[in-house]
Amino acid sequence: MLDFFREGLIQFFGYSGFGNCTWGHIIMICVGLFFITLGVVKEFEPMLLVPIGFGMIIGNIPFTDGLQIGVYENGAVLNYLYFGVIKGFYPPLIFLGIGAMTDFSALISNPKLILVGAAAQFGIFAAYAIALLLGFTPMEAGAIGIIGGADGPTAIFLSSKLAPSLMGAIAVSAYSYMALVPVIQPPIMRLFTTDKERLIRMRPPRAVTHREKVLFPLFCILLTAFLVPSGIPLLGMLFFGNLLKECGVTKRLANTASGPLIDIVTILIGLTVGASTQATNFLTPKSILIFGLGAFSFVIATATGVLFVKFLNLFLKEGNKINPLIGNAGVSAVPDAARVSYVEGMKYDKTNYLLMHAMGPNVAGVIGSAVAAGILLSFLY
Amino acid sequence: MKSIYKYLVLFLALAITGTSFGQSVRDLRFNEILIKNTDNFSDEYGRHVPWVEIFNTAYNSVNLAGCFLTDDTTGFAAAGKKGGEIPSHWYHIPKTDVNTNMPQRSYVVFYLDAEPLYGTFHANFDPRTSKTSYLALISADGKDLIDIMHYPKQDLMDSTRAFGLEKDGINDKAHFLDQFTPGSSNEVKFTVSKQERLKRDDPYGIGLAIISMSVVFTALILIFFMLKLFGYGSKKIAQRNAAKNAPAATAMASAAKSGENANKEGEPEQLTGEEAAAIAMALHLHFNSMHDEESEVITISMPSAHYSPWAQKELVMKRSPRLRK
Repeated sequence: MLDFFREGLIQFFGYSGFGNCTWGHIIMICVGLFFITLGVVKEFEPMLLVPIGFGMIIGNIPFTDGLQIGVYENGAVLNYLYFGVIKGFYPPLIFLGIGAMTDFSALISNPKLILVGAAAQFGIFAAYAIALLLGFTPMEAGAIGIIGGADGPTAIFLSSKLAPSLMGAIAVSAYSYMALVPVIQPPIMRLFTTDKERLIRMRPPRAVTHREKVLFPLFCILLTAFLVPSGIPLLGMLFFGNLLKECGVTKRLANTASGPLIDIVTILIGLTVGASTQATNFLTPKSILIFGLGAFSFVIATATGVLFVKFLNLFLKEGNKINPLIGNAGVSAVPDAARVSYVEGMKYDKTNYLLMHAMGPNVAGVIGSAVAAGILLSFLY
Repeated sequence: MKSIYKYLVLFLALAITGTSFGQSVRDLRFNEILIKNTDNFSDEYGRHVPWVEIFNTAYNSVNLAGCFLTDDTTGFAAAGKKGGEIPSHWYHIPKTDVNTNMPQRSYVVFYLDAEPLYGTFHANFDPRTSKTSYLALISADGKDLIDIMHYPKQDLMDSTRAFGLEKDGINDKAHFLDQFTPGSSNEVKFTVSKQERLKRDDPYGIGLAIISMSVVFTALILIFFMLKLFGYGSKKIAQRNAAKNAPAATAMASAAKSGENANKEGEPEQLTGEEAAAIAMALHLHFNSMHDEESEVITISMPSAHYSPWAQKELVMKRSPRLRK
C-alpha cells in the first residue's frame, strides 16, 4: 500500500511542472515577468508586452510531451490559436485595424514627410547584410532584418513565411524594441542633431478635405500593390481599413476593425507569440544574435530617418524646413515613435508641438515597412 | 435603359462565374510521358510500364476524380451534346480515392498499362497498342477537353527517353527530356533556388539592399506625387469655391463694417491652429457628452399612460427614511 502511494506520488511529480523544470524554463518565466513589469509599471506598450509576457509564462511552464498542451503540439488548444501566426493571417487583420485607426491627414497635408518613412527602412537592409555576414541564410536574414521596420505584425508575417523556426525570437525582439522606443531612440536623435535644428518650427499642416482622405487609400493601394504585389496582404488590409474609416458610410465596420477585432487579434497574437518562446526552442545562440541584430537595425533605422531629414533640409527653403527630431518616426512604431519626437521636441521648446508633424513619417513608415516586407518576400520566398 | 444595364451587369457576372472554372480541373496539364519503360519508374507492383504525369498548375488543390483519361477521343462530340453518353472506352478516374485530390502545383503519375483493376492510377489503355498518338484528359461531364498531349509515338516506342514540357504546365515547349522526373518538376535540373542565387550573386546583401531601397523609395515617391496632386487639386477647388462665395463674403464684410473678418481678396479669414484646436476640442466634448448639462429634459408633466412599473423608477424607489431626532 505504501509503495503504491509512493509510486503514485513519484509519478505525479514526474507529470508536474516541478519535475520537468530546467534553468531555461525559469529564465524564460523571469523574462515573461520582466515584460509584464515593463508593461504594467513603466507602461511600455502594455497592450503587447502584457500578453506576450503572460504567454511566455504559459509557454514555459514545464510539462510532459504528448499531452497536447504545448503550443507546438498538434491538437493542443494553444496550437490552434498559434495557427494564425504560423499561417500569417493575424498580421493582416491587425493591419486592418491599424488602417481603421490611422489618420493619414498629416501625411496628406505634407507629402514630403513620406520620404522620411522610406529612408528609415534602410535599417532593415543594413541588418539583412549584417545577418548574412554572421552566417544566416538569406531567408533568415530577411526575416531578421524586418525587425528594423519596428512593426511587429510585419515581422511576424514575414518570418512566418521566410524563417518559421526563428519566428518566436524575431517577434519577441520586434515587440521588445517597439516597446523600448522611448529608451532607444532619444540618444540617437540627440547624437545626430544640433540645438539649432531641434528648435526648427514647422509650418502648420493644411486642412485636408474628406475627398482627399477617401481617395488616399484607393490610390495608395493601386500604386503600391501594382509595384509590390507580394505586399498585398498587409497593404491591402491597411488601406481597406483606412477606407472604412474615411469613407464615412461604414462606421460600424470601421469601429469593429479598430476596436473589437484588433483587440481580439492582439490578444491572440501576443499570447501565442509569447507562448512560442519555449525555452527548449528559444534559448539558443541564434536568438541572442537575433536580439543583437534587431537592436542594430532599430538604431540604423532611427539614425537614417534623422539624417535623411537633415539631408532634405539642405534643399528646403527657410520656413519649409523639417525638424530632424521627427526623423526617428520613420520607423513604423505607431504612435510611440511620433510621441518620442514630440517629447524630445518639448524638451527644447515648450511651444513646439511636433506630434502632428511626426505622425506623417510615422504612418509613412507603416506603408514603407509593408512595402519592404513585400519586396523581401518577392526576392526570398 | 437602366434596367438593361442591370441585366447586362448580371449577365456578365454570371458569365464570369461560369468561366471561373479556371481554378479547377481546367488547370491540369499533361506534363511528361514515357512509353518504353525498361528499367525506369515502376508501379506499386514493381512492373515497368508506360506512364504519364499530370501537373496541377493551379495554386489551389484540384480533384481529378470523375474525369476521363483516354487515348481515343471518339465520341467526344456526342458526349458533349445534351443527353449524350460517355464513351465506354474512356478511363473513368474513380471518385473514391482520396489520392486523386492534387495539392497546389503537384504531380500525379498514371500507369498506362491497360490494367484498370490494378488501382486508381492504372488506365485502361496502353499507348504501345494504341492506334493514336495522343492522350486526352476530359472533364467529368464529358463536355470539356481539359488537355491533350500529342507525342511522337514511334520515337518514344524506340527509345527510352521521356517526352514532356520544358517548363511545367506550359504547353508550347514539349520535347524530349534529358531526365526522367515522374512526380516532380521537369525543370528541376536547371533550377537554382532564389536563396542559392542570392548567396552566389549577392553574398553581402548590398545588391538586394540597393534594389529594395529603390523600390521602397519609388513606391513612396509615387504616393508623394499623388499627394502633391491631391494638394494642387484641393487648392484649385478651394479657390473656385472662394471665387463663387466672394460676392457674399464681400457683402458680409461690408455689412460688418469692420472689414477685419475678411481679407483683401474677400475670402473668409483662415483659422489659426490654436483656434482650430479650441473648436475641435469643443466639438469633441460636445459629441462625446462630456458636458455639465445633462441631455435629459427635466419636466413636471405627468408620465404618459403607457407607463410600466418596471420602467418607472419612481415606483421602485423607496422613500427616504425620515430622520428622527
